[in-house]
Amino acid sequence: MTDRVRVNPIACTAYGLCAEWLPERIDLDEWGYAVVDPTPLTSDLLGHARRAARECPVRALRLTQGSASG
Amino acid sequence: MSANAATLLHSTLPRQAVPTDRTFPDQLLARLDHAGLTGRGGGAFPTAVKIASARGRQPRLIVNACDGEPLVAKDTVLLETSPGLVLDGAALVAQAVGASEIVVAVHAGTAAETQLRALVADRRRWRVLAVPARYVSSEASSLVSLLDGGEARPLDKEQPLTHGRGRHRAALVLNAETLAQVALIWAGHAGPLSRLVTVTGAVATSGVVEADETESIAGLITRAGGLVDAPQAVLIGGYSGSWLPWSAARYETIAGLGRRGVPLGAGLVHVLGQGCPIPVVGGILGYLAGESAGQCGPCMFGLPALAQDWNELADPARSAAAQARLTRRLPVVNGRGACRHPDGVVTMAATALSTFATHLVAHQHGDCRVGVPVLVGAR
Repeated sequence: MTDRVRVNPIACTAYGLCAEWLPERIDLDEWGYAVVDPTPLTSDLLGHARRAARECPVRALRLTQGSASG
Repeated sequence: MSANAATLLHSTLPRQAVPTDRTFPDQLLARLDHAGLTGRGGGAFPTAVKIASARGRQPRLIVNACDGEPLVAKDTVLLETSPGLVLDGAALVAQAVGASEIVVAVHAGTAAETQLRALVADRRRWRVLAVPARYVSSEASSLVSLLDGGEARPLDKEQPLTHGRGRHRAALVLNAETLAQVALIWAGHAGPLSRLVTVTGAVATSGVVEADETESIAGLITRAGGLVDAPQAVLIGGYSGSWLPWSAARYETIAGLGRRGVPLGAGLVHVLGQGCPIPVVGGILGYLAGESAGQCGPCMFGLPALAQDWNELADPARSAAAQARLTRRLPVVNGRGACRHPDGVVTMAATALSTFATHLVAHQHGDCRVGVPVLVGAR
């Protein structure tokens, strides 16, 4: 079972908090929108990833299991 | 191509009855799989796989006859010359998946809309969906959104449409040409599948031709009346397609281009004659940027930035910096939207950079001496 972070591009409005919580997987483009690295999360990153998802003001970030798409 | 029972255009195939026995869905899927039919709307996804994923979910069947690509007219011409083929294909697939209703999507206010309303008027469970004539409005998930009372804008792609998404019930969206092929295949047509290709630009007679995938670009152009200018490049697939230098495209076949990673997409072959290509590509980029649904940041902000970078290529003082910015921005924008709109823009711009590379160097030296060509047929 592998966890990845996924951003809903329609919901994302470039708050950018996720990149503060999870810089290991999330970068911001020049307009401030999340660029997500789909590499599976290692166990030491899971807590930060959950926090990043929780802190997103528009709930655009989610943890997904198994799929490399999106 | 002369009309006969096995062609898409001007089909003389008699209308088909829809089998109701229990083995029919498996038989239909087996034949489509064997024929190797793929989606003709641009995505080229295996049709049998898509239909199979909708079985047992009582989906709405949506027939996409919008011709969303500005230069492409194939679905309109198909409906004009062989409406029965499209309706038969839809009826067969609807039966195979147990569709709850059949929705024919066409651009609002077109002759095709009037024609289809008359065609389905006396058919139960059939209706026409009038779609705004914008680029992303006829994207599959946009049609589902519009059908369910929302705006014709793409949905987030978390799950396949055939499985349903949130408040959106399952939907099976198939292109009109794909469904016409379904009707031909079910009727027993066993030969190679043909393609509807819209040939435009520097040709004598822009229009839709039907061709096997063994047909070359040169052959398609001959069937569109031949060249009217010395070509420098060809745009394959659509505005979201790929540019190729004329020398590289000329004797390639449709199948050969596909193997090289240049899919026929929505079936456009646009021939660019002489003149500076920068304003042509810039015009398409500006159009595509304006057609963003405005939902996803990378598309909303990225596409106008790409279009501006591109237009700056023409200015010797800014050309080199603009090209560096484009090269950096293209991969950042790619794959970051809910739909594939930004990806197509990136493909078009990236292939334009390579196809017109020599000309771009001339611009950096202030040495473009050719006039501006007209993008024939653009609207």
